[in-house]
Amino acid sequence: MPKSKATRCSEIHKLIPAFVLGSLEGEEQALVLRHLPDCPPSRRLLEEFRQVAEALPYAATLQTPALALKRRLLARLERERLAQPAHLWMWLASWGRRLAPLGPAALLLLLGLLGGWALSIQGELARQSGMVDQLFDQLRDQQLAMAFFTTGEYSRIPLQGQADAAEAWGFLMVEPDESVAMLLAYKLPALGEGQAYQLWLIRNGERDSGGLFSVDASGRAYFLFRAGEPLGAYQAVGVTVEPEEGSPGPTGPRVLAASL
Amino acid sequence: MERDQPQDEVLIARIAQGEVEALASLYDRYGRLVYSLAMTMLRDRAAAEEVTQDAFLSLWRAAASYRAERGRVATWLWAIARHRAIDELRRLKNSQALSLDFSPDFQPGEVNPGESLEDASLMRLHVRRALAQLHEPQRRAIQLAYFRGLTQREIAEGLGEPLGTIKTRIRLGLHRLKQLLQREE
Repeated sequence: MPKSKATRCSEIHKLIPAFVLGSLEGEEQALVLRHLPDCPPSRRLLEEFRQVAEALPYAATLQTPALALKRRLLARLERERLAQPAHLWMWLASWGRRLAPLGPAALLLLLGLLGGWALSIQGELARQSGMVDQLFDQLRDQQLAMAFFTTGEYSRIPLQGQADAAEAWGFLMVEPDESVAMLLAYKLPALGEGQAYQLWLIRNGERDSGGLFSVDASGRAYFLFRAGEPLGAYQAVGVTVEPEEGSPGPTGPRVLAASL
Repeated sequence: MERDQPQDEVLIARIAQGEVEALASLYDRYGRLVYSLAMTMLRDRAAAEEVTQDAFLSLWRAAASYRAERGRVATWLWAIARHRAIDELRRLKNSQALSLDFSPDFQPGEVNPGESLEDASLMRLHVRRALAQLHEPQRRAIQLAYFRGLTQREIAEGLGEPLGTIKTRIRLGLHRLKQLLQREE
């Protein structure tokens, strides 16, 4: 017998404390994520417990980091700031003016050396920052997902499975006038090796890529994506199977579609 | 916060323009809080400093996307630091036994040596006092989930307790904590 909405809500409310602590996993976590979009009381409860979880860092005993940490941090930031392209070109131009009297050959040689050195710094910084950037992206996605469920200012748009994935279904959660949205999809077919799902935003017949995503073993996907424009500028959304590096336009079978 | 200090949002806007000095001001304001969370989670000075630096670097790189309605700056920094510290804890877990020896490093209402009265803010006292009023098994389950980044199943396995028992402790413990914090407001 299907569970009543009240029974389901009661089950979800029991899971919310562990959800805000990040200690749920698997099906229980998915259960909460599926339930929240349709249940304002559950979202209010989530917000209340989120505030409790956000107070927990205050329990940590205050400790003071080494003074050198601030110096290291600021020195690194200064290097990053100077390595930005605009700063680099201003710096090289300034040296160019100073060295101009030495003649064109010396000028070119010195500019080449300086440019090579500066580019090597940029490469090193890019390598070092890659891991932190990836971490931040994950965190920002989690925060955005939480915000979708707690602000309650989004529209829910159903996604329909297409011929090659008739059982697939899902929905988009779109905040008015925002370019960030969330896709939740279920029962998508497993991807072959070297494949990914690619989301397309359709405007006046043109298709912009919304990014690549994959599914878990049960065909479930949660995907936060950023469009180039507010979502209101687009007329439709589609999802196709593409090579894992993505395609400039849809090439594979369409599995999900929605009108915006 | 002193009255003549710029608001967090002003500093974030300046950071988005590439002002290192603004980031330095924000570090002075929140550096200890972020480091303290990282130290509580990792108990290793070098690792906690690395996490703290990562948190502020992330803020530096993403300042332009900060939106006040999504949360306070401190919450943002804590979330980044906690996420990064959990990654570090999971990396360590693969190379050594899971550590469940999380014991409270504070007494309710206590001001620690070296901690000024200004540091011991009302909120910190409230949270510590509320946590101290929980039953010890509930407090321990919550601390292992939040400060060790463990799932309910991992906590149950680590403590040798039934999963249902841990779920109940977390649920009732956080409910009780919510009530206690609301009462303190």
